[in-house]
Amino acid sequence: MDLEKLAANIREAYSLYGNAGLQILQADETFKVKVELNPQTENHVQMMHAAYLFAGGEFLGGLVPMRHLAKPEKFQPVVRDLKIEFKAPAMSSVTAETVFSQAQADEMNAALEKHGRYDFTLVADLKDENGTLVAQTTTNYAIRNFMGG
Amino acid sequence: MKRRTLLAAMGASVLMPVQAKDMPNQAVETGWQNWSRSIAPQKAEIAVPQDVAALKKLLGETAGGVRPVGSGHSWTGLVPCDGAIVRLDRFNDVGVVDTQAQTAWLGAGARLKDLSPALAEHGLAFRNLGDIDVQSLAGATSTATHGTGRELPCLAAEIRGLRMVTGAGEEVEISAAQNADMLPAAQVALGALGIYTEIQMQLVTRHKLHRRVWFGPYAQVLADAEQLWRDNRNFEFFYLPFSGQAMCITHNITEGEATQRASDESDDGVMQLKALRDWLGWFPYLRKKLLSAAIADAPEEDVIGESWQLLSSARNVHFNEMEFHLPPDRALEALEAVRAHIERHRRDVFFPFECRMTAEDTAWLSPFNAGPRISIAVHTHAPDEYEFLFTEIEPIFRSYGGRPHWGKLNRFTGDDMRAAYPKFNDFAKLRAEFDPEGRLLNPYLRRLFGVA
Repeated sequence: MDLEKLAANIREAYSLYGNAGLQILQADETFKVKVELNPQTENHVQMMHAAYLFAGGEFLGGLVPMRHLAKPEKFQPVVRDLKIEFKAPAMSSVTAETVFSQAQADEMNAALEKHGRYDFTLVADLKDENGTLVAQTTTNYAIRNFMGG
Repeated sequence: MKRRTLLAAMGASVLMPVQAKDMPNQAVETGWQNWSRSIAPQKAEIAVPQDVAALKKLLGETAGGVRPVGSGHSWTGLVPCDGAIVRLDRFNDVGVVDTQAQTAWLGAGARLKDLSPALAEHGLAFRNLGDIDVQSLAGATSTATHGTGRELPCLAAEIRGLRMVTGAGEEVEISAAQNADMLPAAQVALGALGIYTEIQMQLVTRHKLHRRVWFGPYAQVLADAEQLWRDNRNFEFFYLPFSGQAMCITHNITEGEATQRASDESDDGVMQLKALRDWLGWFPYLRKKLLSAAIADAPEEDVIGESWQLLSSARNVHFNEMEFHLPPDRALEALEAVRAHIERHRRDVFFPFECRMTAEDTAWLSPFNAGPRISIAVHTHAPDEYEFLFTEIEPIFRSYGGRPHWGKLNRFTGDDMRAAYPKFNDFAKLRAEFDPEGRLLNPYLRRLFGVA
């Protein structure tokens, strides 16, 4: 999959990500996306708006199934809850990064095959261009056959 | 008489998983599988007879059923048997060519892709070809393999003569000079009357085609399809599932200068469709968006070349396929029903659906007898499960009066075939006369013809 083309289409399809200038930097076992600081993502004190930090962290939970779901035609992920901790002002573009190993992917697909359901948690670090941790998200996802296919 | 050995230097086609040694009648290998490997490796021995005498000996001496095989590009159970699987690699010559009548006797085991350039040397060409040309002549004709074109019949309808060794071990010729009345029975015969050794084909003058390929909105292509079939010698289209877009291909005869053709990237395209399925199968909106973007980037093709070089190409991505031939007045409705079902229930499908038209002929077991048909094919990636084709897609095709391709996935029984083909019983009777001992029957054909 051409990650740049994927990101370009996502930016075009969803104004939230379009505004954020979303880039997908990596999607193997490390998942990394970038959210731009720009006039549309700034808040009233010129830091990155909380919604875009949230969006960057949450997006990773879609990227993991894109990369690793063995039966994407059958199962779909949704967010159960997301906790975000703001650690420092985000004064530049931000990179959100998490890890989901091949072993976890194998476990996920085995569980889906056997039980038709799988829950997982992603902890993502959001860092600014200096490498400073500006936020951390902890998100719980559920994968089910919601569409009944 | 100029004879030219086409395949002397070749062993098995690269698409054959098994290499058999070149020894008359000696079965030297087992493990035959069809191209997509949907049929399990067979224990039957593989024989490569060198001539008619060796073939007769083989039929006389082999214990169990004997079945001919071509390139293995079929999915139905025509080949598996308990005796010997016969490859006709040695029956691969271009025989007597009559340039006046534009006919030629051709080795039944010769591959279409090898015959085309050989015929071109005589200023001749097949009138039409399917989109795959690795099949043997006998294999392609015996299963009514076809191309597309409102005025163009399937390959079997171009047969003017046949030479075979019957199941009873007798050499029989069917041609204008001998047994002419049997020709319509023998043109599409599933290898059930005899093992064909030579086939006389009606050909046409060697010609160039102007090929155009473009994408358009599926709904518009459906609306224009009838006109496109009327206006073009060859027209077909592929619907890209989950995209709303169709790829159209036309070919028309031209005297124009041949042009350079870009490399065929259809295999790459299919794998891109797979990648989109794998990544975004759970996200149809985004899948459609990326598909549309990829289609928008796809260059249109506009080239001129020799007919056989443009009509057919290799398919390197293995797939399983169901194809039904439908009455033209209901076919596009059936296609729409299949599309709606797959996009609602089968997000795993990514191979394009293919839609073609074939002219009427008179062969008893041709799906195109008693009127032209529009053929709709649904493919699945070879590693993917395809049971749903039988349980979900075949019923749709059946409800629209479809007849299955003889070589492609279907669960038609003998009764179903009898209902679909008015001459089926006549063929079954003739089969029993040509092969009274059932030497050429295997489990599939026994079920089909109701032979214990």
